[in-house]
Amino acid sequence: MAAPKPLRPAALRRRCNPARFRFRTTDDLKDLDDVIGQPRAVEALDFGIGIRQAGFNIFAFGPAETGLRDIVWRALSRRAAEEPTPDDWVYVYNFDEAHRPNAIRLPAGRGSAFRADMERLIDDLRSAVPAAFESEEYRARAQVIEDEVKEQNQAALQEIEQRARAENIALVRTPMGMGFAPMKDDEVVSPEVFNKLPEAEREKAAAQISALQDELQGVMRELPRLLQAAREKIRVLNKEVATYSVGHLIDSLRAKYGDVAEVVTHLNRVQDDVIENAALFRTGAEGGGAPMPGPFPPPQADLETSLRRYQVNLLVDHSGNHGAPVVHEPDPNYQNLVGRVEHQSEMGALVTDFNLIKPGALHLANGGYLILDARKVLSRPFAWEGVKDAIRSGEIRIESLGQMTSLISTVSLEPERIPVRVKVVMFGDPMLYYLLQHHDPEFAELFKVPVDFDDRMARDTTTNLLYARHVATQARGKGLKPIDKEGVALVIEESARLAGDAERLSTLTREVSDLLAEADYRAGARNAKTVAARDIRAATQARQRRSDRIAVRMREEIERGTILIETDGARPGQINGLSVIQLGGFSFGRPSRITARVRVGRGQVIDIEREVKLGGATHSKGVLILSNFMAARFSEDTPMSLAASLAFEQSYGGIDGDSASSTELYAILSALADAPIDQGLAVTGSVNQFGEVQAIGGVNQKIEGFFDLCLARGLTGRQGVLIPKSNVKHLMLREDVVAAAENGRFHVYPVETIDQGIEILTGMRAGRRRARGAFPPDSVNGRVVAKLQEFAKMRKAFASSGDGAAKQDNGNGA
Amino acid sequence: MAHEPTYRRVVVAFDSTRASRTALNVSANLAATLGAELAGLFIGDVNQLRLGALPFARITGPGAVSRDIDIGTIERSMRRAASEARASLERLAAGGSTPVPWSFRVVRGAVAPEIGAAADPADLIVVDETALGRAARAALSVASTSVLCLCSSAPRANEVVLIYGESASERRAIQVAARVARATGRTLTLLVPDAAQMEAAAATNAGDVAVRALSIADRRSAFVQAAMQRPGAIVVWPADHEDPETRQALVPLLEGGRLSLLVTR
Repeated sequence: MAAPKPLRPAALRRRCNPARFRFRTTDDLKDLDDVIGQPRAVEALDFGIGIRQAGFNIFAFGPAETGLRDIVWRALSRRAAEEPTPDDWVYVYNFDEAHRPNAIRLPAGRGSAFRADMERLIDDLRSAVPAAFESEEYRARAQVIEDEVKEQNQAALQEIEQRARAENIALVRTPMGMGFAPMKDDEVVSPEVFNKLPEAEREKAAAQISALQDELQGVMRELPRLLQAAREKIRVLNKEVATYSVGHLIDSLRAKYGDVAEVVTHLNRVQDDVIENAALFRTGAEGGGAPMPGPFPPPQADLETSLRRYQVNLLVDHSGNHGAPVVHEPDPNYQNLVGRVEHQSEMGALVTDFNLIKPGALHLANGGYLILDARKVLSRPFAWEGVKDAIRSGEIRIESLGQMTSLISTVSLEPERIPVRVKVVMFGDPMLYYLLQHHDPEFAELFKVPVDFDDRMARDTTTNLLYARHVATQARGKGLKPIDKEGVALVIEESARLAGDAERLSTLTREVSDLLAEADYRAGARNAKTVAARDIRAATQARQRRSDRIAVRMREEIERGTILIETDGARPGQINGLSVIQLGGFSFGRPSRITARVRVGRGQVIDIEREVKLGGATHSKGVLILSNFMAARFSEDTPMSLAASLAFEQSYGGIDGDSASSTELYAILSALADAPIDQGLAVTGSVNQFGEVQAIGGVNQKIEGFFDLCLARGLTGRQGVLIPKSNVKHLMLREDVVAAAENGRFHVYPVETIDQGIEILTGMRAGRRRARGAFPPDSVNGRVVAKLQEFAKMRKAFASSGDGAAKQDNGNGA
Repeated sequence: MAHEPTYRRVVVAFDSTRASRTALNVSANLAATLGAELAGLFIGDVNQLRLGALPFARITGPGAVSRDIDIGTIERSMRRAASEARASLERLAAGGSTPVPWSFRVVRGAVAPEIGAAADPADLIVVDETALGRAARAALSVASTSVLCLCSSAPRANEVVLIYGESASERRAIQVAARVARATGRTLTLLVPDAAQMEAAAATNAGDVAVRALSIADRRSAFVQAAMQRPGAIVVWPADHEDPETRQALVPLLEGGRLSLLVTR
């Protein structure tokens, strides 16, 4: 097989011909409504949104630059707008168990009305209840009850007093109680006078007084019973008056919300509670007197605090909304998802009630869609558990992390659980999706719809035009200047470069969008009304310049001779390899010198990178493959008596990948054949055990990396890069590389086999086995065989000299 | 317009049963309104002292519990009550927007006679029926000057009520009633038995006190009826209205704690 010719310049960069476009600028193109280049994802998304079965939640994954979040958001918003608006939710006081507030569902928009109605009711109660108790009728009836007690008590006392007076005994009132004393002329007799009375009279008076005292005790014992009866009558009266004053206020609400049974039940309980606690309204209306001075006034169950129980906590309000909600929670921690019960400080203690229940994203998205960033959900403690719990149980349970983990047993609220019907849409890296699939057994049950966003799409005439419309849509959407068709063509070429494939376009729309914005800025700087190809080109170059500091620094060190890379001349056992360095969003090709040394040995190829643990597994695999290729080709019937060593010179950061395996093989062949390799060439490509050169990644960056070095040193016209032929379709080289190729100053060789490559590199024939199996002696392969035979002889001679090690080597074979 | 009545002192009387906050407040306001001295009169009831000195003295207190009592205990309770009454009086006199001159005196004896003896014609006596009981009502008769017998247990009403007439004593009563209304923040209601006097009654000048004139059919019974319909009102009664029947009708209202009575002299 003859050595391949350099590729034609047209093969180095597949141009997009603007002449094929029938528009002048992007203003002539219609907006693209569909998502470009994501048919699989769009179909999955439509399915995921449409299906209503449990567990069919969506996990959208792919590169963030595809704009998948925006695509998902738009798709959900479109669908949500056609769906019914879900119900409102409120929390109200639970009159049976205050720590378990009740949740009530109301039709959309009626939650806020209910809250406002209850606020008005509270205001009305504030005035209506005290007014009822201040009415003449109430006062009169209460007075009758009080008078009744007072009269009964006074009548009893008067009766005793009158009987006492009849016996000349006075009833004397003191601050400590009442007593009886002998009386004369309406005055209590003095002790002196009393003591002068005959003993019989004194004893008689004492006996009378003792009897009266007993009677008085009897009357006073009766008083509490009378008061108790009066209190009961007052209580009945109060209830009657309160019922009258409250009933008609609540009746109107009962009629208004008659279609919501839970609201009616709640209103009934409110009425009962107001009647039961009517005294509270009267106390509040009277002001309760001046507050006790001092820094620590005692806590008071004042009216305002008590009235909070009649309020309505509007948790989810859809008034003014149309369609189902689409909620994106930017900070999906546990409490932001499931809601929380807040507290407020009161007298140094943290207190709460149902009014302090706050909704989470699940509440707000209930009946619609909740969009979550998977990475954030997984990195917030218990957030993932909270999401799964809600989906699995179909309910939202509001509890603090302390309660959830049983770390805190303080009594707090346990709000009634709210049923939830929400489509959760998570987005994130593909890796997260695969990790969850692998490690979380519930994941597959709960997220049954994967939406896989691709990072590239096919490139052909049709998709070029679609892409042009996508560019037009982006430009208009961002308010950019129109882009002329040459500019669009260049954007398409850049998109292909971004995809790293001449036959593909990148779907990383954010990158393209940024490029358009920068090109628009540059067009504006030159006062142009349209963005031209020069603006796209300038933006592309500027974007590269902003990121290539490390690449330029490394190239400078090569030029200064700090890093030894030759781009001219020829050397055996030394070759220029190419690697790609990725720094953030920028990648560039870096030439490396790869050397091979050979000597007699046991058939080993020593990978120095591997020996010092700087080489990765894939790289070692490549070295083993090339070793076996050599053994199979050159030592089919004799032991390999070769010891070869391979090194990436001046490499200190580790090597991985097998893209240098063909390069390493060339170096060994060159060393064995003593065939100098042209240092103006660099090589990339992996090799298999049959000596076929296989495709590698980053071919464009690798070529450009070597081109930049050659350009800096001065292009000789003999320089170039050997690439796998299967990588030709990936070529989307920079325009300056293509221009150099057009001028014959730089070459790209498509290589299929090692033999083709070694011929280009050494200028010698590779050599094919003849009929008797031998390679031509003047070919590279022939010289390799000769060298290996020489090594074998040396080894055999060394072994027969009696060296134990050599014997052992022979025993092990090659 | 008759000569406007002036009072040199407002005498508020109490014994050891309990100091009436209502009586104290009303007295302090009246003293400030009238520009008079606020004079406290604490009467150590001789009947209580005699009870305490008897060998078998017992009292029955709250909870229907009976216990022995001696004169020492009675005297201590009187001293404490007098001290508290004095402190309250001093605090009230100094606490208003304009401090009121004040004095305080402690006497021993029977309550009603002591009240009668302590006041001179230039005084306005204030007693609380709820605190002093029968003695307060007795003071209405024995005193030689105007006596306001308050009923602090009555519901709070907003009126000072009296019969409108144009005799000297009635005009004086109207003037006193106007001042009491101002001091207690009430309106003045004039019950007018003579329809011809309605216009004049409605035009009564009571300063910044609101005046309302109501026609009544019969001078005495209608008045009693009107007073009964206004529990908590202060009813003003010129002492020279010698009408035993009416006065008799008012007694149950007083005793029932339904209204306060001001007898003007």
